[in-house]
Amino acid sequence: MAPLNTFEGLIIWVGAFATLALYSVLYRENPVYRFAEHIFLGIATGYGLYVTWKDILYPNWFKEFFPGPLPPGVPADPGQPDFTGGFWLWGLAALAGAMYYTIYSKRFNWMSRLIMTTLMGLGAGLTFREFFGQYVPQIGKSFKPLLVVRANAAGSFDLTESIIASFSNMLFVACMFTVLMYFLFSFEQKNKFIKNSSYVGRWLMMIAFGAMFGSTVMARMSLFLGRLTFLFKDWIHWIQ
Amino acid sequence: MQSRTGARWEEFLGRLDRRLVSLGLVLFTLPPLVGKWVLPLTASSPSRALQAAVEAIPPEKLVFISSDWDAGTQAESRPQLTAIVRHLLKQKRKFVLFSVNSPTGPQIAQTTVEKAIKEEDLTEEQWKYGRDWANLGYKVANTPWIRTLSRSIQEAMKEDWQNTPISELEILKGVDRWGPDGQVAMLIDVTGSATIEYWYAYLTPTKVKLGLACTGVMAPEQYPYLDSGQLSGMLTGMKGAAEYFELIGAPSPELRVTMAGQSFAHLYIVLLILLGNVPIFLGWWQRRQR
Repeated sequence: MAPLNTFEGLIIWVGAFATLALYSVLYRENPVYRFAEHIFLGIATGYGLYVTWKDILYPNWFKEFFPGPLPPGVPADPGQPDFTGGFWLWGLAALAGAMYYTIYSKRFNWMSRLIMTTLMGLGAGLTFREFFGQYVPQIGKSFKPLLVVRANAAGSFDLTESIIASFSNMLFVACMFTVLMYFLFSFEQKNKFIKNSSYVGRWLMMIAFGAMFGSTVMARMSLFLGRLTFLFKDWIHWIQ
Repeated sequence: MQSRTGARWEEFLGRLDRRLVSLGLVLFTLPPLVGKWVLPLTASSPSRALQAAVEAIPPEKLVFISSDWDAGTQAESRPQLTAIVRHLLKQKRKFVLFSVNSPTGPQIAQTTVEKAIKEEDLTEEQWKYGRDWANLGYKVANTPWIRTLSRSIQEAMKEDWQNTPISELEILKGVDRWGPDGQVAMLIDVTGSATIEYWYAYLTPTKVKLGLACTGVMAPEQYPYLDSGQLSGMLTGMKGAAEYFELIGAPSPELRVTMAGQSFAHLYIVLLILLGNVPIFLGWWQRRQR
């Protein structure tokens, strides 16, 4: 077992206790589980607040606002805070942020709506911009040639590679077409071709959902195995 | 209509204590871990593509790693980050870390990188912080900041995770732009959430190469981006990490053993699914007999 008389060993014991406490919910809901859950949430929130101040607000806002000691040679008044050279416009950011909290006041909650609507408009515009970066390249790449001619290393026609590449592109186009057919909701799908394409599209999507489920199981098992390895290797040394 | 045997079987499964299912999982996955069983492993093409993309980076250019994971996904993300960093160290490519998703990310990434440097038998002087690598800490991923980052790295990144101004970090001197015309050739997102979407949206236009090391849950949704060329390569969960260690010629015996445990866990889940379908199969079989 991990030694309790060293700092590293103590950390492993705390980790083992937390792991077992959290897994104890599999047996039944219990106070030990609740205790570990609350401790974790408290620590995560506290640390999150500290890092948000240290890495975000302090360097980007506070330090710009109050830039620190005066340059050498400039006399300072010891009893007074130093406001020299601050970027005072950052005060508007604090004002805008504070406007959110007026939501709790019946008299002033119109101010919270001002900042919310401004940010909603900004968000809508940026989402439009994001769409172009994220999805337009995919639309462009979906225009694939159905017949592909591939050359081998010597520069002559490679029949096998060409057939494989052509088949791959045809399969891609067929899958995309049938799945898109499934999403044609504007009219009743009476036409046999459309109806069958839509049916195939539904099956293809179910296969994709199955793959997603498989991946999810894989991810969850990885997390479980990580904990199992920690308990049996780092804590009780069953696994060398 | 269900057969009587099928109904009895279903009743038995319904009465089964669910805690036995969890216990079964432990008992099923433990033997490969304790017995150090190893199963064959073949590298997938997205992992190979990531390796090729990293090796194609010009030596004078930087790699940025967005380390967006924390303790919740460390079983998958930690080996991924270790494998990628070790590959960069072998290739002598300088790299810069930052996190946009998790406040605890920089601390975990720091310890992971320091361990990877030791595993590559490099001393702190041989691969020096500030000169060969840096950790810029946690940044809140709001859209205006990401837009700024896509335009100017110097404007968006002010300090490292210990509040050292980036002007004092040798590695970041003159580093401001992404892509073929800039100083950063590639961004690899090691992530436990959907942070890669920020980089698709704002870094795709800069033509910087994007790599992804994600959890297994996220991987199926990322294949269209591989197909469109927006992603240069991808590692999927713990499996992707194990593949990458093999590809870079630094196989991890520990990870191979864990992968065997993973295969046994999957086998157990498949058996449970089959077990749950037995009543349906029995009903079908008895109807067929009649």
